[in-house]
Amino acid sequence: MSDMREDSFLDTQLDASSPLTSANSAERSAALAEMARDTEPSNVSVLRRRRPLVIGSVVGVALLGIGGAAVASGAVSLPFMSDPVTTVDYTLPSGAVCSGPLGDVEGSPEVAAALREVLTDPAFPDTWDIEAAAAELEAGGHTLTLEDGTEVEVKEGTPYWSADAAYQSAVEWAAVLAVSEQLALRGFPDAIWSYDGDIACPGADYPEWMEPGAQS
Amino acid sequence: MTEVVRALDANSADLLAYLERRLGVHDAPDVLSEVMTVAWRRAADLPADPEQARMWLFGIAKGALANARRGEVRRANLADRLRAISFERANVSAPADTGLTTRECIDALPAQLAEVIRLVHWEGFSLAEIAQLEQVSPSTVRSRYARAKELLREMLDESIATVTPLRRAAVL
Repeated sequence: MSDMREDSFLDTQLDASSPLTSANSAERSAALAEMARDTEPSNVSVLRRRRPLVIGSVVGVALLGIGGAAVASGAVSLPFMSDPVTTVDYTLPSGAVCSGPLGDVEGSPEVAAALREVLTDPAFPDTWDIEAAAAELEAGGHTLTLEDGTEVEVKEGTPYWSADAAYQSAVEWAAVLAVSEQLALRGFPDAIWSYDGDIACPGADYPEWMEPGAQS
Repeated sequence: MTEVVRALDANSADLLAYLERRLGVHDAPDVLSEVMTVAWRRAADLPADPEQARMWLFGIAKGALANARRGEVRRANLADRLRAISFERANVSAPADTGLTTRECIDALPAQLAEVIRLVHWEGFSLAEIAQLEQVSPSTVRSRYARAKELLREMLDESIATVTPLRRAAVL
């Protein structure tokens, strides 16, 4: 680094500008060592593990907006996946496990290639902020149009809401936001793209309208 | 898997300091926990060379940092424990200086220039290491660093010129 330090006064000031950090101690070292071992996947409980993500329906930033109609963000299971690129799984609040493929990527050739790269990156799930996505969805509101044309709010305390369904929507939205951000980082900030998911969540606690055979 | 433990043991203190300087001592342990979790999940990608392993871990930390700044991070029991230790008054080290003026000037730089300064002067990275971490060419890092110092020189000169005589004496 000697070639960089041509201004000793400024360098000294910059070296000294470092913010406060915790002091090293035997106790801190022990806590760090324990954390290093405790974070090994086999040692992480279901509740503490960052939940891997997945999409339970057709999503795309061009098609799905915050607070969109329920039919656009529900757990619609596609009949098949013609071109799966990755497999994902996650656990719902009820304990039901969702799993299945993501794929059928669409977009311009360059965008589709970048999207495939994003989806297959092992670190991709780590970029999903489910809590923030849930808060964003809740703030945006969510409505459902019943068969008689009545529009109802899908929110906690109504028969149209469940914790599993809300969590799944948050996962979907978090993934969409993360894809959008990752594509922007790759030089495609305003690209049109989509991908599909064929996710099954056996035993999930969905409201009646989301159950197979209900309106969708 | 022992390689992951070895790499984490060798670098966790530096990673914690890196995160503390950017997020504060309160939030850094949570993000460090995430960094470690990701390191375990991607264990197959861990470089064998210790220096490369260090850069790999900092690359994960950089990503986790960006994510942490987007949303609230989860609180884990071990993170709480580490936080409690960090906050014990007797255990908290003083900042390297009163440094507010200098840090304000660094913060006022364009983000990419500011980060080069932080990585050189706070974390001790070489320009070549920063190029690897930031995934840009060494010449780009070198020009960013030169430009950042040029701007800092101007800003610090201005700040010294505009403070009161008493403060100016303290700064000088």
